[in-house]
Amino acid sequence: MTFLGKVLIVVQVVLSFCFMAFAGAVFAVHQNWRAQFNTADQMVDTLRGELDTARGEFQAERDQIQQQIDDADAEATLQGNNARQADTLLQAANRDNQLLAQEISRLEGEQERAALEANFRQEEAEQQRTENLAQQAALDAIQTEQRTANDTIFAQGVELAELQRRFTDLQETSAHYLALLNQNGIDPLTRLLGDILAPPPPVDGRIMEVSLDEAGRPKLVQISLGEDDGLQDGHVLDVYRIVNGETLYIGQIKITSTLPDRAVADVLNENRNGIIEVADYVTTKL
Amino acid sequence: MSPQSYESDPQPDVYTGLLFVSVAALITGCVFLILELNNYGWAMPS
Repeated sequence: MTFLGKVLIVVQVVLSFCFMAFAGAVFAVHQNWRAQFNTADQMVDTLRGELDTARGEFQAERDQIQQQIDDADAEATLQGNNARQADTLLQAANRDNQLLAQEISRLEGEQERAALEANFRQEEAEQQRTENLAQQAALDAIQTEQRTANDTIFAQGVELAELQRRFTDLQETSAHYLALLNQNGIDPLTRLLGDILAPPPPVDGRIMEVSLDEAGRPKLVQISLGEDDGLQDGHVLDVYRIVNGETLYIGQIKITSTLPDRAVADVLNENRNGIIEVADYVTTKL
Repeated sequence: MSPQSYESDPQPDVYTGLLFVSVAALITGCVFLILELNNYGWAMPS
């Protein structure tokens, strides 16, 4: 055998061992990629199934959620409408509440006024009751006076009847006397009544003006009384003056002329205690 | 071709032994490869 043949044999041996070693290594440390592929494929199928299921569930869940969202939107819209209606009702209720508050305030005011008026009416009733009692007492007094007055009227009626009877008797007597005077040719009305002067009424007045004579003595005076006070010509009045609280008698005057509100008089007794002056008092009461 | 000789068969030497060892190694490697292909069902990649 040649040397080249020997070398080739050795090389073949080495390569054979290398082949055996590599094949053994591959077999020893190999992994079954097919089984893993099948397992992975099954896993992929399972996962796809799960994915489809999940997608279905997701779609169903999505539809359900969408339905819930739609329902929620509808509910929200309804709630919004209800909220608006409630807001409107609330505003109306607030307005009603304000109106009621104002009405309550007004009623409270009226109640206070009514209470005050009731108190006032009660006080007024008390006053009225007191006045009623006083008026009742006054009415009793008036009824008593009325009974007394009735008694007086009855007595005066009796007296009037007596006076009428006496007046009738006097008229008969007077007619008898007038008949006698006519038979004797006497006019009784002119002579007898002409000299009769009625007494002056009790009046008081003042000297308004004094007229002096040539000697400077009072002669005529004008007084503040006249026909309206009942004075007539011929009436005599006394003149006096009040000095330091004492009454000083001065003299008398006689009416010579009368007017409705004043009169003129002559001075009768001159200067007994002084000279008649303006503002002296005149009277018929002395 | 060398002419036919009538000499006796040569005695196996160490190289002959090495050739048997090499054959054994090749057979072992082929068995390993067959076992490996069994795992894949002899399916060749297309």
